Amino acid sequence: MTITKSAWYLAAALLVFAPVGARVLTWPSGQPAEVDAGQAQAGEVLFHHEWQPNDPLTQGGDGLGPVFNARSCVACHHQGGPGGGGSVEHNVLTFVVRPSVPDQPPRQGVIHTFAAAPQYQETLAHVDPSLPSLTASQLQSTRGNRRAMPTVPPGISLTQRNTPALFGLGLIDALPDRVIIAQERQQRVQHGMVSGKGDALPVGRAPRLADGQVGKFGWKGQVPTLADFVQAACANELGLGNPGQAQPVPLGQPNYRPVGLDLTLEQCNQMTAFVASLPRPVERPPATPALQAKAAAGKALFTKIGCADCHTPNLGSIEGIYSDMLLHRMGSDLSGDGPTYYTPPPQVVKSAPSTAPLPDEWRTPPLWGVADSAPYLHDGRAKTLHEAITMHGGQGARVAQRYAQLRPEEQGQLVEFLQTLRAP
Amino acid sequence: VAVYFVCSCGQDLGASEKQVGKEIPCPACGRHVLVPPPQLRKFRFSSSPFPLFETSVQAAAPRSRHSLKTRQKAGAKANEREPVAIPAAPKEPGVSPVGAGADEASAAYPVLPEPADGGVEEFQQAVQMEEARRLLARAEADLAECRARTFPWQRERYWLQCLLYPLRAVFLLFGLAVAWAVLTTFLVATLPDTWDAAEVTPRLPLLMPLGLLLGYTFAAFRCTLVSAARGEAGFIAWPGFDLAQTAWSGLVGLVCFLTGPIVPAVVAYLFWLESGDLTWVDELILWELATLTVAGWALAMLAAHGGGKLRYATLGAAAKLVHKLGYRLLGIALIGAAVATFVGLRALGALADLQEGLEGWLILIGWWTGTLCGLVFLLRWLGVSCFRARKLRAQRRRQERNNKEWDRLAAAASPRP
Repeated sequence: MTITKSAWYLAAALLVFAPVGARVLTWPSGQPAEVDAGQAQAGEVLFHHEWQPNDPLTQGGDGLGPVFNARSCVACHHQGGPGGGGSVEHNVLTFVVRPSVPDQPPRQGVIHTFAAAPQYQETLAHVDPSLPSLTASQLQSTRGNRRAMPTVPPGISLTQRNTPALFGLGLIDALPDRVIIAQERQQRVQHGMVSGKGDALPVGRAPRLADGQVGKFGWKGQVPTLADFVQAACANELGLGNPGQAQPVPLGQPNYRPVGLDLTLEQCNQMTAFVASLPRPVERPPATPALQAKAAAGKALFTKIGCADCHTPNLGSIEGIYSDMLLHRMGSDLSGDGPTYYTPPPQVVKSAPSTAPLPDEWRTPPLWGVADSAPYLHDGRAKTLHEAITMHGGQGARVAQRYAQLRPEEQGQLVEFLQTLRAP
Repeated sequence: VAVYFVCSCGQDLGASEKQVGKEIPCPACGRHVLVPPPQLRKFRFSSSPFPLFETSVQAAAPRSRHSLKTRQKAGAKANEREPVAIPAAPKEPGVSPVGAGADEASAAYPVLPEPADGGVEEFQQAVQMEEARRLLARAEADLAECRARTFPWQRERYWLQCLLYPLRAVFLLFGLAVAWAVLTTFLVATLPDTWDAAEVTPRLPLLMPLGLLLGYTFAAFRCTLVSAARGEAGFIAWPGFDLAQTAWSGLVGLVCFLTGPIVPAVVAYLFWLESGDLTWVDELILWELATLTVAGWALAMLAAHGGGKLRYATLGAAAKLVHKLGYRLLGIALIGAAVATFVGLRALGALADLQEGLEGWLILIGWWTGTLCGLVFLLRWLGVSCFRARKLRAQRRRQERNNKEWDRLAAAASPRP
């Protein structure tokens, strides 16, 4: 039997593309693993549990505190149901004190709102003696929607973080790092390969950690996995030390030593399973045909004026996430230094170079469920979606400008579209 | 002055291109010095520079000392091209044997004029003298050509020697690299923010210098490839300032890329885009795809320029060529392309440093120089290999023909039963 010329060509093509095909087939799919229902149920109990000092659920630890921001997870994550975002009253106050000596790491952390005992109560004066002796809860809302911040001396930065919604985080956790890096490359190709032009153009960068992982959680994308995110939140917000993250030491009591761990790894996994089991937000069309047409027009405008450049509707296998999960520079008005919140991993040789997020760099927050997660922006300064759009600066300034140039009815259409993105 | 050289006494000398192969006196020492051929020589473009498909390889093979038949044929052709100049006889009205009114016929069928008063002998002497002069002039020309062929460097015999070719052509390649670096910087700086028609359309005229430089680079590649495939050595072939050939070379180069090598190139681009942080496996895959792209493109260029027609600028024609000239050619293309792409891919980080000031810019020029050198090395090696393969094939055919002739003679001489 003679082999035809076409057969030879086919064999050559197969040989050429076999390695790339085999490699593509080994890529992770991005589909989340099935959550164990029992684990999720147990996690739900812990999520709703009102923690107390020396709580019986903690085994060997000191329970809630000594410093904390809330007594339960659901106390902050409640908008649109358990797991949702939180109001501005639950904002977390963070600080960074930059050393006067170069090459020294900055002192950074959270000024907790509450304490298990009066001697542990943290105030601004603990950050720097020149600051007033006010607790986080004593900062009243005087400007916009966020808490009024005192004037701070140079080298000190105080910023707030609004509680994010947790819906659909299981999908984000399963998202391969490859997809986020591909998004970064696409934006660079689309808007020119030069990083210098990225200050004005929507060219983001993947939040890379020192061990080579890509950060997916947190306002600055500083946490790589959902498990790490849950453990960091338990430790920092509730004062529940766990195998993944130690509980914070009161700022005024640096010699405080916890008696043991408050949560076991099993409990952390249960809470992670519960968060991963939370359903993803939905796109719910308005009730009337007129409003539906308005929302459809708004969706077209969303792409037309460039919102979709960063708030990418689909990312990998996740449809309707409306985020590219990249860090973007948002301008000096939206600047906010802050702690990593999560203990960063050690630098790994040969991993991609990691650069800490700049003060004005923020991870694009997914817009799914945005209608049920007011207030907006990292510190909740925007009460409405309209305000949030107009406050975009830096790489988002051009889009904000285009939005401002729209007719009021067109702006209404765009907001109407965003109102269709609801919590589950 | 086209050629610069140094006399043995150390005096710097210059000469025009016409003086190549001749001797000129040195003003310092008075000795006669042979003018060497120039290092950079303008390439002679032709439609079918080294016919690979239609014309027989034998006809295209270079002159060989052993190929008497070929030389005779070539000599006969030369004689046809250059007819013997007959000395014009003094015209006298009415003397012509054809007679008056036969001008048209004499133009179509030239007839020797009648011998002058000296008679036939004198006329024959004049003809012989003219023939002798012609032979002398031809001998002088052959001598000059022979001297001109005393190349400063010989045709490469091993692949390592081909690495020297880009070094010899470094001034040409460096000039191209600087031009590419400037153009790259300019194009990147003026890239549209988005790929909308409104932003792209005003920038379309910028594609003209890109097309021109691309065409010129392809023309330089073509000169390298064709010159090597012709078996030329001793100088760097360059395209000169021929706009038509530049445009044609650019077109051929693009068609060669679009008719096959574009597929692995697009696959490599999409793979790079989607693969995230590259592991060594990913880098190997990218290297493999880039190698196949460059090798396929180079072979298609060889086929296109060897065939002399655009329809040969395909991977199919390249496959046919490889089948005809031997699979060694494919191996050479793959290895050469692997070297070229290795150089190119390793230094691709220069693009990211484009805005890092002078350092980044120098790295960019270095990247372009390295990549162009790698590609020129590949094309030179491929061309030389093609020349040797054709020569070998011609020798094999000649041997076969001789063997057949011997067999025929032996069969004729053998006693019949």
